[in-house]
Amino acid sequence: MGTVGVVQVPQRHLLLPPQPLPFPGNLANYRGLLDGYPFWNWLLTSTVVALISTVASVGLCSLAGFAFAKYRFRGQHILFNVMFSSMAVPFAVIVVPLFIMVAKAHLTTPYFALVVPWVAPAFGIFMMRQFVEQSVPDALLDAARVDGCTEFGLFRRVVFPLLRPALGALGVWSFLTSYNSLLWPLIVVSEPGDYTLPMGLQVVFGATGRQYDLVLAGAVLAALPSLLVFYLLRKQLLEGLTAGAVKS
Amino acid sequence: MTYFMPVVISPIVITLVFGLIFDKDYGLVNATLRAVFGFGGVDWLGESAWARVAVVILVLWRWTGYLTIFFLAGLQNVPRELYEAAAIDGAGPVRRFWDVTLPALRPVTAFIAVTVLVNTAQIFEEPFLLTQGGPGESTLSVAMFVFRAGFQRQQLGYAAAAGVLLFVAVFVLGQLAMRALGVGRSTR
Repeated sequence: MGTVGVVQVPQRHLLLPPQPLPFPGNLANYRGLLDGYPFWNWLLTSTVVALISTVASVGLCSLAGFAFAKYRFRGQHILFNVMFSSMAVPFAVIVVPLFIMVAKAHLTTPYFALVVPWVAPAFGIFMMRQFVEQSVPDALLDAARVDGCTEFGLFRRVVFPLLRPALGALGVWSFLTSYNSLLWPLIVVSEPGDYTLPMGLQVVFGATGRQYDLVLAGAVLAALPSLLVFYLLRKQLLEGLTAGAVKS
Repeated sequence: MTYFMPVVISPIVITLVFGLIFDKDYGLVNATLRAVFGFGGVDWLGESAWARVAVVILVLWRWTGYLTIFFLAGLQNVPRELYEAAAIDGAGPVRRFWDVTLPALRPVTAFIAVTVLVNTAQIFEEPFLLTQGGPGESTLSVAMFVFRAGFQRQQLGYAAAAGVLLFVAVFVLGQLAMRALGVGRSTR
Protein backbone atom coordinates (compact mmCIF):
# COMPACT_ATOMS: atom_id res chain seq x y z
CA MET A 1 0.00 0.00 0.00
CA GLY A 2 2.93 2.29 0.70
CA THR A 3 4.00 1.94 -2.88
CA VAL A 4 0.55 2.87 -4.08
CA GLY A 5 0.60 5.99 -1.97
CA VAL A 6 3.99 7.14 -3.12
CA VAL A 7 3.38 6.91 -6.82
CA GLN A 8 1.93 9.99 -8.40
CA VAL A 9 -1.46 8.85 -9.60
CA PRO A 10 -3.82 11.31 -11.07
CA GLN A 11 -6.00 8.70 -12.71
CA ARG A 12 -4.95 9.45 -16.25
CA HIS A 13 -1.45 8.40 -15.28
CA LEU A 14 -2.43 4.94 -14.06
CA LEU A 15 -0.27 2.60 -16.03
CA LEU A 16 -1.16 -0.45 -18.04
CA PRO A 17 0.33 -2.92 -17.39
CA PRO A 18 0.49 -1.85 -13.72
CA GLN A 19 3.92 -1.48 -12.16
CA PRO A 20 4.46 -3.22 -8.83
CA LEU A 21 6.87 -0.52 -7.69
CA PRO A 22 6.53 3.15 -8.54
CA PHE A 23 9.45 4.59 -10.44
CA PRO A 24 10.52 7.24 -9.92
CA GLY A 25 8.74 7.54 -6.55
CA ASN A 26 8.13 10.89 -4.96
CA LEU A 27 6.26 12.37 -2.03
CA ALA A 28 4.32 15.03 -3.91
CA ASN A 29 0.94 13.60 -2.89
CA TYR A 30 1.82 13.66 0.79
CA ARG A 31 2.82 17.29 0.41
CA GLY A 32 -0.36 18.07 -1.51
CA LEU A 33 -2.52 16.48 1.17
CA LEU A 34 -0.73 18.05 4.12
CA ASP A 35 -0.66 21.51 2.53
CA GLY A 36 -4.18 21.52 1.14
CA TYR A 37 -6.14 20.10 4.07
CA PRO A 38 -5.98 20.32 7.89
CA PHE A 39 -4.78 16.73 7.94
CA TRP A 40 -2.82 16.99 11.20
CA ASN A 41 -5.93 18.40 12.90
CA TRP A 42 -7.91 15.38 11.76
CA LEU A 43 -5.23 12.98 12.91
CA LEU A 44 -5.02 14.74 16.25
CA THR A 45 -8.80 14.76 16.77
CA SER A 46 -9.09 11.08 15.90
CA THR A 47 -6.19 10.00 18.05
CA VAL A 48 -7.09 12.11 21.07
CA VAL A 49 -10.75 11.09 20.92
CA ALA A 50 -9.77 7.44 20.61
CA LEU A 51 -7.30 7.66 23.48
CA ILE A 52 -9.72 9.42 25.84
CA SER A 53 -12.55 7.00 25.12
CA THR A 54 -10.20 4.05 25.50
CA VAL A 55 -8.98 5.14 28.93
CA ALA A 56 -12.49 6.07 30.08
CA SER A 57 -14.16 2.93 28.80
CA VAL A 58 -11.50 0.60 30.20
CA GLY A 59 -11.86 2.23 33.61
CA LEU A 60 -15.66 2.37 33.65
CA CYS A 61 -16.22 -1.06 32.14
CA SER A 62 -13.91 -2.78 34.58
CA LEU A 63 -15.56 -0.99 37.52
CA ALA A 64 -19.05 -1.94 36.30
CA GLY A 65 -17.97 -5.46 35.47
CA PHE A 66 -16.45 -5.86 38.93
CA ALA A 67 -19.69 -4.66 40.54
CA PHE A 68 -21.85 -6.99 38.46
CA ALA A 69 -19.59 -9.94 39.18
CA LYS A 70 -18.83 -9.57 42.87
CA TYR A 71 -21.53 -7.50 44.58
CA ARG A 72 -25.13 -8.31 45.37
CA PHE A 73 -27.35 -5.25 45.27
CA ARG A 74 -30.97 -4.34 44.65
CA GLY A 75 -31.97 -4.17 40.99
CA GLN A 76 -28.87 -6.02 39.95
CA HIS A 77 -30.62 -8.47 37.66
CA ILE A 78 -32.76 -5.83 36.01
CA LEU A 79 -29.77 -3.58 35.46
CA PHE A 80 -27.73 -6.40 34.07
CA ASN A 81 -30.49 -7.50 31.72
CA VAL A 82 -31.04 -3.98 30.45
CA MET A 83 -27.31 -3.61 29.85
CA PHE A 84 -27.04 -7.01 28.22
CA SER A 85 -29.98 -6.64 25.88
CA SER A 86 -28.71 -3.25 24.73
CA MET A 87 -26.02 -5.20 22.90
CA ALA A 88 -28.69 -6.60 20.60
CA VAL A 89 -29.94 -3.17 19.57
CA PRO A 90 -28.45 -2.06 16.25
CA PHE A 91 -26.82 1.37 16.14
CA ALA A 92 -29.23 2.41 13.38
CA VAL A 93 -32.06 2.21 15.93
CA ILE A 94 -30.53 4.51 18.50
CA VAL A 95 -28.79 6.90 16.17
CA VAL A 96 -31.75 9.24 15.71
CA PRO A 97 -32.81 9.46 19.39
CA LEU A 98 -29.17 9.77 20.44
CA PHE A 99 -28.59 12.61 18.03
CA ILE A 100 -31.72 14.42 19.22
CA MET A 101 -30.63 14.02 22.83
CA VAL A 102 -27.17 15.38 22.14
CA ALA A 103 -28.50 18.23 20.01
CA LYS A 104 -31.24 19.26 22.46
CA ALA A 105 -28.71 19.34 25.27
CA HIS A 106 -26.44 21.56 23.11
CA LEU A 107 -23.59 19.14 23.58
CA THR A 108 -22.57 18.86 19.95
CA THR A 109 -19.04 20.09 20.62
CA PRO A 110 -16.94 17.46 18.86
CA TYR A 111 -14.92 16.20 21.78
CA PHE A 112 -17.96 15.73 23.98
CA ALA A 113 -20.20 14.18 21.35
CA LEU A 114 -17.52 11.85 20.02
CA VAL A 115 -16.40 10.59 23.42
CA VAL A 116 -19.19 10.59 25.98
CA PRO A 117 -21.81 8.35 24.31
CA TRP A 118 -19.16 5.61 23.93
CA VAL A 119 -17.44 5.49 27.31
CA ALA A 120 -19.40 2.54 28.73
CA PRO A 121 -20.13 0.04 25.95
CA ALA A 122 -22.26 -2.92 27.05
CA PHE A 123 -19.89 -5.27 25.27
CA GLY A 124 -17.04 -4.05 27.47
CA ILE A 125 -19.02 -4.33 30.70
CA PHE A 126 -20.12 -7.84 29.85
CA MET A 127 -16.62 -8.88 28.89
CA MET A 128 -15.19 -7.46 32.13
CA ARG A 129 -17.83 -9.18 34.20
CA GLN A 130 -16.95 -12.53 32.64
CA PHE A 131 -13.27 -11.97 33.28
CA VAL A 132 -13.76 -10.92 36.89
CA GLU A 133 -15.87 -14.01 37.55
CA GLN A 134 -13.29 -16.20 35.90
CA SER A 135 -10.09 -14.81 37.32
CA VAL A 136 -10.82 -13.16 40.68
CA PRO A 137 -11.52 -15.67 43.47
CA ASP A 138 -13.84 -14.51 46.27
CA ALA A 139 -11.36 -15.77 48.86
CA LEU A 140 -8.78 -13.28 47.63
CA LEU A 141 -11.22 -10.39 48.05
CA ASP A 142 -12.18 -11.53 51.54
CA ALA A 143 -8.53 -11.83 52.51
CA ALA A 144 -7.87 -8.28 51.36
CA ARG A 145 -10.94 -7.07 53.30
CA VAL A 146 -9.65 -8.71 56.46
CA ASP A 147 -6.36 -6.91 55.90
CA GLY A 148 -8.27 -3.62 56.03
CA CYS A 149 -8.50 -2.83 52.35
CA THR A 150 -11.30 -0.40 51.37
CA GLU A 151 -13.79 -1.46 48.70
CA PHE A 152 -12.24 0.84 46.12
CA GLY A 153 -8.82 -0.32 47.23
CA LEU A 154 -9.97 -3.85 46.45
CA PHE A 155 -10.65 -2.81 42.90
CA ARG A 156 -7.44 -0.85 42.50
CA ARG A 157 -5.01 -3.22 44.22
CA VAL A 158 -6.53 -6.66 43.67
CA VAL A 159 -8.94 -6.73 40.75
CA PHE A 160 -7.26 -4.30 38.37
CA PRO A 161 -3.88 -6.08 38.30
CA LEU A 162 -5.57 -9.46 37.81
CA LEU A 163 -7.56 -8.12 34.88
CA ARG A 164 -4.58 -6.85 32.92
CA PRO A 165 -4.84 -9.12 29.86
CA ALA A 166 -8.55 -8.44 29.55
CA LEU A 167 -8.00 -4.71 29.93
CA GLY A 168 -5.50 -4.80 27.08
CA ALA A 169 -8.01 -6.56 24.85
CA LEU A 170 -10.77 -4.14 25.70
CA GLY A 171 -8.39 -1.23 25.23
CA VAL A 172 -7.39 -2.27 21.72
CA TRP A 173 -10.99 -2.96 20.84
CA SER A 174 -12.24 0.40 22.01
CA PHE A 175 -9.34 2.34 20.50
CA LEU A 176 -9.94 0.75 17.11
CA THR A 177 -13.71 1.13 17.28
CA SER A 178 -13.41 4.79 18.10
CA TYR A 179 -10.57 5.51 15.68
CA ASN A 180 -12.29 3.80 12.76
CA SER A 181 -15.84 4.96 13.37
CA LEU A 182 -17.42 6.93 10.58
CA LEU A 183 -21.20 7.08 10.89
CA TRP A 184 -21.46 8.92 14.21
CA PRO A 185 -18.76 11.53 13.42
CA LEU A 186 -20.50 12.18 10.09
CA ILE A 187 -23.64 13.01 12.04
CA VAL A 188 -22.33 15.17 14.88
CA VAL A 189 -19.31 16.94 13.41
CA SER A 190 -19.83 19.72 10.92
CA GLU A 191 -16.73 21.98 11.00
CA PRO A 192 -13.99 20.81 8.58
CA GLY A 193 -11.37 21.65 11.21
CA ASP A 194 -12.96 19.18 13.65
CA TYR A 195 -13.29 16.24 11.26
CA THR A 196 -12.03 12.87 12.36
CA LEU A 197 -9.57 11.15 10.07
CA PRO A 198 -11.88 8.68 8.28
CA MET A 199 -14.35 11.49 7.75
CA GLY A 200 -11.70 13.86 6.43
CA LEU A 201 -10.40 11.29 3.97
CA GLN A 202 -13.90 10.59 2.78
CA VAL A 203 -14.48 14.30 2.20
CA VAL A 204 -11.17 14.71 0.34
CA PHE A 205 -12.09 11.74 -1.84
CA GLY A 206 -15.44 13.30 -2.66
CA ALA A 207 -14.04 16.79 -3.15
CA THR A 208 -11.33 15.71 -5.58
CA GLY A 209 -13.83 13.91 -7.83
CA ARG A 210 -12.90 10.44 -6.58
CA GLN A 211 -9.24 10.89 -7.49
CA TYR A 212 -6.93 8.53 -5.69
CA ASP A 213 -3.72 10.53 -5.56
CA LEU A 214 -4.21 12.50 -2.34
CA VAL A 215 -6.42 10.11 -0.38
CA LEU A 216 -4.08 7.17 -0.77
CA ALA A 217 -1.30 9.18 0.81
CA GLY A 218 -3.75 9.97 3.63
CA ALA A 219 -4.78 6.33 3.87
CA VAL A 220 -1.21 5.26 4.52
CA LEU A 221 -0.83 7.83 7.28
CA ALA A 222 -4.26 6.97 8.74
CA ALA A 223 -3.41 3.28 8.97
CA LEU A 224 -0.28 3.91 11.03
CA PRO A 225 -1.77 4.66 14.50
CA SER A 226 -4.17 1.72 14.41
CA LEU A 227 -1.47 -0.67 13.25
CA LEU A 228 0.83 0.64 15.97
CA VAL A 229 -1.74 0.17 18.74
CA PHE A 230 -2.60 -3.26 17.45
CA TYR A 231 1.05 -4.26 17.15
CA LEU A 232 1.81 -3.20 20.71
CA LEU A 233 -1.17 -5.00 22.25
CA ARG A 234 -1.82 -7.87 19.84
CA LYS A 235 -1.24 -10.65 22.39
CA GLN A 236 -3.86 -9.35 24.79
CA LEU A 237 -6.35 -8.81 22.00
CA LEU A 238 -6.00 -12.37 20.72
CA GLU A 239 -6.32 -13.97 24.14
CA GLY A 240 -8.99 -11.64 25.47
CA LEU A 241 -11.43 -11.64 22.57
CA THR A 242 -11.56 -15.37 22.07
CA ALA A 243 -11.45 -16.48 25.70
CA GLY A 244 -14.88 -15.12 26.63
CA ALA A 245 -16.66 -16.13 23.46
CA VAL A 246 -15.68 -19.74 23.01
CA LYS A 247 -16.24 -20.94 26.53
CA SER A 248 -19.87 -19.87 26.69
CA MET B 1 -0.97 -10.57 12.74
CA THR B 2 -2.06 -10.87 9.12
CA TYR B 3 -5.38 -12.38 10.21
CA PHE B 4 -6.18 -9.18 12.00
CA MET B 5 -4.91 -6.58 9.57
CA PRO B 6 -8.21 -6.21 7.67
CA VAL B 7 -10.20 -5.57 10.86
CA VAL B 8 -7.60 -3.24 12.32
CA ILE B 9 -7.24 -0.91 9.35
CA SER B 10 -9.91 1.76 8.85
CA PRO B 11 -12.73 0.82 6.48
CA ILE B 12 -12.00 4.02 4.58
CA VAL B 13 -8.47 2.84 3.82
CA ILE B 14 -9.69 -0.59 2.79
CA THR B 15 -12.46 0.66 0.56
CA LEU B 16 -10.12 3.08 -1.19
CA VAL B 17 -7.83 0.23 -2.13
CA PHE B 18 -10.74 -2.02 -3.08
CA GLY B 19 -12.11 0.79 -5.22
CA LEU B 20 -8.85 0.69 -7.16
CA ILE B 21 -8.87 -3.09 -7.34
CA PHE B 22 -12.42 -3.19 -8.71
CA ASP B 23 -11.88 -0.29 -11.12
CA LYS B 24 -13.44 -1.06 -14.51
CA ASP B 25 -10.56 0.00 -16.71
CA TYR B 26 -7.46 -0.16 -14.54
CA GLY B 27 -8.48 -2.52 -11.74
CA LEU B 28 -6.50 -5.55 -10.69
CA VAL B 29 -9.51 -7.88 -10.87
CA ASN B 30 -10.39 -7.01 -14.44
CA ALA B 31 -6.75 -7.07 -15.50
CA THR B 32 -6.36 -10.55 -14.00
CA LEU B 33 -9.56 -11.79 -15.64
CA ARG B 34 -8.40 -10.38 -18.95
CA ALA B 35 -4.98 -11.94 -18.69
CA VAL B 36 -6.20 -15.37 -17.59
CA PHE B 37 -9.57 -15.82 -19.27
CA GLY B 38 -9.39 -13.28 -22.05
CA PHE B 39 -12.37 -11.21 -20.93
CA GLY B 40 -12.68 -8.74 -18.13
CA GLY B 41 -14.94 -5.86 -18.97
CA VAL B 42 -16.95 -6.38 -15.78
CA ASP B 43 -18.16 -3.02 -14.52
CA TRP B 44 -17.78 -4.01 -10.86
CA LEU B 45 -18.98 -0.84 -9.26
CA GLY B 46 -21.25 0.42 -12.02
CA GLU B 47 -23.66 -2.49 -12.42
CA SER B 48 -26.19 -3.37 -9.72
CA ALA B 49 -25.53 -7.10 -9.47
CA TRP B 50 -21.74 -6.79 -9.63
CA ALA B 51 -21.68 -3.93 -7.16
CA ARG B 52 -23.41 -6.19 -4.64
CA VAL B 53 -20.88 -8.92 -5.32
CA ALA B 54 -18.07 -6.40 -4.82
CA VAL B 55 -19.47 -5.34 -1.43
CA VAL B 56 -19.84 -8.99 -0.41
CA ILE B 57 -16.24 -9.72 -1.39
CA LEU B 58 -15.04 -6.72 0.58
CA VAL B 59 -16.98 -7.75 3.70
CA LEU B 60 -15.79 -11.34 3.39
CA TRP B 61 -12.18 -10.24 3.01
CA ARG B 62 -12.49 -7.97 5.99
CA TRP B 63 -13.88 -10.51 8.46
CA THR B 64 -12.59 -13.92 7.36
CA GLY B 65 -9.26 -13.70 9.16
CA TYR B 66 -10.82 -12.45 12.36
CA LEU B 67 -13.44 -15.20 12.45
CA THR B 68 -10.78 -17.79 11.69
CA ILE B 69 -9.30 -17.04 15.12
CA PHE B 70 -12.55 -18.16 16.73
CA PHE B 71 -12.52 -21.42 14.79
CA LEU B 72 -8.89 -21.89 15.71
CA ALA B 73 -9.72 -21.51 19.39
CA GLY B 74 -12.64 -23.89 18.93
CA LEU B 75 -10.47 -26.48 17.20
CA GLN B 76 -7.99 -26.44 20.05
CA ASN B 77 -10.78 -27.50 22.39
CA VAL B 78 -11.68 -30.63 20.42
CA PRO B 79 -10.49 -33.61 22.51
CA ARG B 80 -7.73 -35.62 20.80
CA GLU B 81 -9.19 -38.89 22.02
CA LEU B 82 -12.12 -38.44 19.64
CA TYR B 83 -9.78 -38.46 16.65
CA GLU B 84 -7.87 -41.45 17.97
CA ALA B 85 -11.07 -43.36 18.61
CA ALA B 86 -12.35 -42.52 15.15
CA ALA B 87 -9.07 -43.57 13.58
CA ILE B 88 -9.17 -46.90 15.43
CA ASP B 89 -12.70 -47.41 14.15
CA GLY B 90 -11.29 -47.05 10.65
CA ALA B 91 -12.40 -43.53 9.73
CA GLY B 92 -10.26 -41.77 7.11
CA PRO B 93 -9.28 -38.10 7.29
CA VAL B 94 -12.38 -36.94 5.38
CA ARG B 95 -14.71 -39.01 7.52
CA ARG B 96 -12.99 -37.73 10.68
CA PHE B 97 -13.53 -34.15 9.53
CA TRP B 98 -17.23 -34.74 8.88
CA ASP B 99 -18.03 -36.81 11.93
CA VAL B 100 -15.66 -35.43 14.56
CA THR B 101 -14.48 -31.93 13.67
CA LEU B 102 -17.72 -30.48 12.36
CA PRO B 103 -19.98 -31.65 15.21
CA ALA B 104 -17.40 -30.52 17.76
CA LEU B 105 -17.27 -27.07 16.18
CA ARG B 106 -21.03 -26.72 16.18
CA PRO B 107 -21.25 -24.23 19.06
CA VAL B 108 -18.55 -21.99 17.58
CA THR B 109 -20.12 -22.20 14.15
CA ALA B 110 -23.52 -21.27 15.51
CA PHE B 111 -22.07 -18.37 17.49
CA ILE B 112 -20.25 -17.03 14.45
CA ALA B 113 -23.20 -17.53 12.10
CA VAL B 114 -25.58 -15.60 14.33
CA THR B 115 -23.06 -12.82 15.05
CA VAL B 116 -22.19 -12.38 11.40
CA LEU B 117 -25.83 -12.40 10.36
CA VAL B 118 -26.78 -9.75 12.90
CA ASN B 119 -23.72 -7.59 12.31
CA THR B 120 -23.82 -7.71 8.55
CA ALA B 121 -27.46 -6.67 8.54
CA GLN B 122 -26.22 -3.40 10.00
CA ILE B 123 -23.29 -2.64 7.68
CA PHE B 124 -22.72 0.98 6.85
CA GLU B 125 -19.12 1.84 6.02
CA GLU B 126 -18.41 -0.70 3.33
CA PRO B 127 -21.23 0.12 0.89
CA PHE B 128 -21.23 3.81 1.89
CA LEU B 129 -17.59 4.24 0.97
CA LEU B 130 -17.25 1.75 -1.87
CA THR B 131 -20.38 2.47 -3.88
CA GLN B 132 -22.35 5.19 -2.06
CA GLY B 133 -25.24 2.74 -2.17
CA GLY B 134 -25.26 2.85 -5.94
CA PRO B 135 -25.64 2.31 -8.74
CA GLY B 136 -29.15 3.51 -8.10
CA GLU B 137 -30.00 2.06 -4.71
CA SER B 138 -28.73 -1.44 -5.34
CA THR B 139 -26.20 -1.50 -2.51
CA LEU B 140 -28.10 0.75 -0.11
CA SER B 141 -27.99 -0.85 3.35
CA VAL B 142 -30.55 -0.15 6.05
CA ALA B 143 -28.05 1.81 8.10
CA MET B 144 -27.26 3.95 5.08
CA PHE B 145 -30.96 4.45 4.48
CA VAL B 146 -31.37 5.68 8.06
CA PHE B 147 -28.40 8.02 7.67
CA ARG B 148 -29.67 9.40 4.37
CA ALA B 149 -33.24 9.91 5.53
CA GLY B 150 -32.37 11.37 8.91
CA PHE B 151 -29.27 13.41 8.36
CA GLN B 152 -29.17 14.32 4.70
CA ARG B 153 -32.90 14.79 4.10
CA GLN B 154 -33.86 15.89 7.62
CA GLN B 155 -36.66 13.31 8.01
CA LEU B 156 -35.71 12.21 11.51
CA GLY B 157 -39.00 10.43 12.24
CA TYR B 158 -38.85 8.45 9.03
CA ALA B 159 -35.29 7.46 9.80
CA ALA B 160 -36.19 6.37 13.33
CA ALA B 161 -39.02 4.23 11.95
CA ALA B 162 -36.62 2.55 9.53
CA GLY B 163 -34.28 1.89 12.42
CA VAL B 164 -37.01 0.21 14.46
CA LEU B 165 -37.97 -1.97 11.49
CA LEU B 166 -34.32 -2.96 11.14
CA PHE B 167 -34.27 -3.93 14.78
CA VAL B 168 -37.37 -6.11 14.42
CA ALA B 169 -35.97 -7.77 11.29
CA VAL B 170 -32.59 -8.41 12.89
CA PHE B 171 -34.19 -9.71 16.06
CA VAL B 172 -36.46 -12.14 14.21
CA LEU B 173 -33.64 -13.28 11.91
CA GLY B 174 -31.36 -13.78 14.88
CA GLN B 175 -33.96 -15.82 16.74
CA LEU B 176 -34.67 -17.95 13.67
CA ALA B 177 -30.98 -18.55 13.12
CA MET B 178 -30.46 -19.50 16.76
CA ARG B 179 -33.40 -21.90 16.53
CA ALA B 180 -32.13 -23.40 13.28
CA LEU B 181 -28.59 -23.84 14.55
CA GLY B 182 -29.72 -25.17 17.90
CA VAL B 183 -28.00 -22.58 20.09
CA GLY B 184 -28.75 -23.34 23.72
CA ARG B 185 -29.73 -26.91 23.05
CA SER B 186 -27.16 -29.49 24.01
CA THR B 187 -25.28 -30.79 21.01
CA ARG B 188 -25.60 -34.44 20.22
